[in-house]
Amino acid sequence: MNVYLGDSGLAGDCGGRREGGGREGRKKQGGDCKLLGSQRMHGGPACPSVSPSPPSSPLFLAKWQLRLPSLLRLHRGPHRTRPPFFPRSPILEKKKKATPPPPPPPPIKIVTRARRDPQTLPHAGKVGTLESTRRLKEGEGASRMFRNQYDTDVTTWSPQGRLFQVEYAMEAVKQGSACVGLRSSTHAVLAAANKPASELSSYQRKVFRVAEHAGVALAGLTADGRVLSRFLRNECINHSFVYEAPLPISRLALRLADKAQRSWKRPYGVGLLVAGLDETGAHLYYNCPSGNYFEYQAFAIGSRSQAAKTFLERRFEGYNDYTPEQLIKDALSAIKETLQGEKLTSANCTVAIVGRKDDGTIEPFQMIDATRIQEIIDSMEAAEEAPPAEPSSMQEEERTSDAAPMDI
Amino acid sequence: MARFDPYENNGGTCVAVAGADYCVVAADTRLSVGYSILSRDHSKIAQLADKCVLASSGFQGDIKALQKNLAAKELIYEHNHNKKMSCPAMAQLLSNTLYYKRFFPYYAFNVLGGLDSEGKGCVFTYDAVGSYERTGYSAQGTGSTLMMPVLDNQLKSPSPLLLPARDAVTPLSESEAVDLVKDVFASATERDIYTGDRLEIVVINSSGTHREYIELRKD
Repeated sequence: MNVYLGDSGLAGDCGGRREGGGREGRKKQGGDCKLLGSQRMHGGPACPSVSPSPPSSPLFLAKWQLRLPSLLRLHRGPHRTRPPFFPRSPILEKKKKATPPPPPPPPIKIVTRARRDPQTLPHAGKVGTLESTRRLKEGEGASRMFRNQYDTDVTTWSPQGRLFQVEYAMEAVKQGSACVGLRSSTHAVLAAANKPASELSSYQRKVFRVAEHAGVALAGLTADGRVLSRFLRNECINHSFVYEAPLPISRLALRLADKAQRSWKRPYGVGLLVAGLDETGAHLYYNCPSGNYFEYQAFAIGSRSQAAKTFLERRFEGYNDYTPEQLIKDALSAIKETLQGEKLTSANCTVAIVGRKDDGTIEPFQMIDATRIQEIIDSMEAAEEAPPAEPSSMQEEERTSDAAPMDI
Repeated sequence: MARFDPYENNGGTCVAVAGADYCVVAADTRLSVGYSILSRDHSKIAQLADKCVLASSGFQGDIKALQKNLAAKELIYEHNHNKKMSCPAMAQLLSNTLYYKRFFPYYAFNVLGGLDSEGKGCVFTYDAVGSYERTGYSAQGTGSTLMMPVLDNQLKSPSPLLLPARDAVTPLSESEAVDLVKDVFASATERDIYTGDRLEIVVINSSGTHREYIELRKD
């Protein structure tokens, strides 16, 4: 709605037209100006919409010409409302009508956040793992920024069909310190490498008890992991309240995976190894930030986990029949692989176990205390110092040396 | 015009006695409704934490729900604080849980017994909406009016107004306290129709929890 009423016939027209046409205005220099009220006449000296000079004056043109460039910058299009100090010139208008209408404004560019140089991103060294960048790097150099266009929002797909935010979340898991899980048919073991953030600090807790029959080990953003552990604890409590039975581990993993499917939230940057015991035996699941989960006989996540995975791949086939002590030993050996040279001590690692003993009683999920871990590490080292033998005979040796049942 | 009555009294009596380093919690095992017996073997005692035992009489539906509620809350406490709940903490939690339903109460008359953080026996007695008090002994349920006078006579703690302050716990030994409880139940069984069948006695002391069953009159 045009605030200003005026007449195109007059010099110093306001933005709109006063009803009644221009003739009325042309007759008298003013009528009542709705803007200024009846005291001031439209076209009179106080009217801001009127230029002091009449249109026929030679000075008039010159003044407009002087002011033209700055005014043109303000005046974007015929449909825009003009600022109050912009008196309309009939000559300017005629000039404008002669020129072709301005082209439509260019489509709004999708503005992304300030783009970081991909080389400085945390996955800089591991760029090769993402196919799209490999293609782009080999191809158009200018489109190195191409991938970043689709990675701002978790709800944006890339043309290759990837959700980069989810993949970045999975990279976060690879940054966390190592975690290892393995299971037999009756017991499941979780172990984590304790890496303090600095010499002065303590290490982050990575293994959490979720219920009497289940626990998780996490790698990645520990804060996200704590939130998820709290969620899992609640789920287990609610299930046992309603059903008077422990939540089966496959359903626990499912609940966790469903939690990753929140499109309005950033993905949880933590991978969880969920281990537990239910009616069907011991189970180990790995839940990743993407929402995928798989069951494993043995698995390792976090930094330098490939070394542990290689170790486990060689040995996992016999795990179903392993005793709990053997499982713990293998878990510790796997963690040792990830430490890469550093000495394994009970301060470096956390081990937890859950299972069903031979007599049918349940061993609830709990951490094994440090002195017991140290004993096991010492016995492992003693066995290594023995003359090297075939792996199978070494295992037999270990089995016979486990005289006492595990005391927890 | 008949209106649905959400409550029902399933009868029974609960007793707890606190000693210097033990606590005895006892309840009969009869479940009744009206003049009928529903079960002769129904436990009214629930172990909430390793040093904390709850005995409740009243409406069994509400009692079951209350016990489950408390067990879930205790598990949450364990996860958050990395230790089991102490008896005084559970006492406050029970009071809050009961008052939460102030305007549709749990029809449960509770007695909470256990050891406090120092290892001394403690007994907490409740009404239906959570008003509670730490005492040396208590009885709740249909036979409580028959038992309390006898317990008062045998165990009455000195008045809290007396100086110097004296412990409310009984100086009796554990076996003497158990015998007293058995006698008191035997007396109540004679006259209260809702009390009888069998007596479940739980003794909590530093070495853990010990359970015992005594036969009572079945009429």
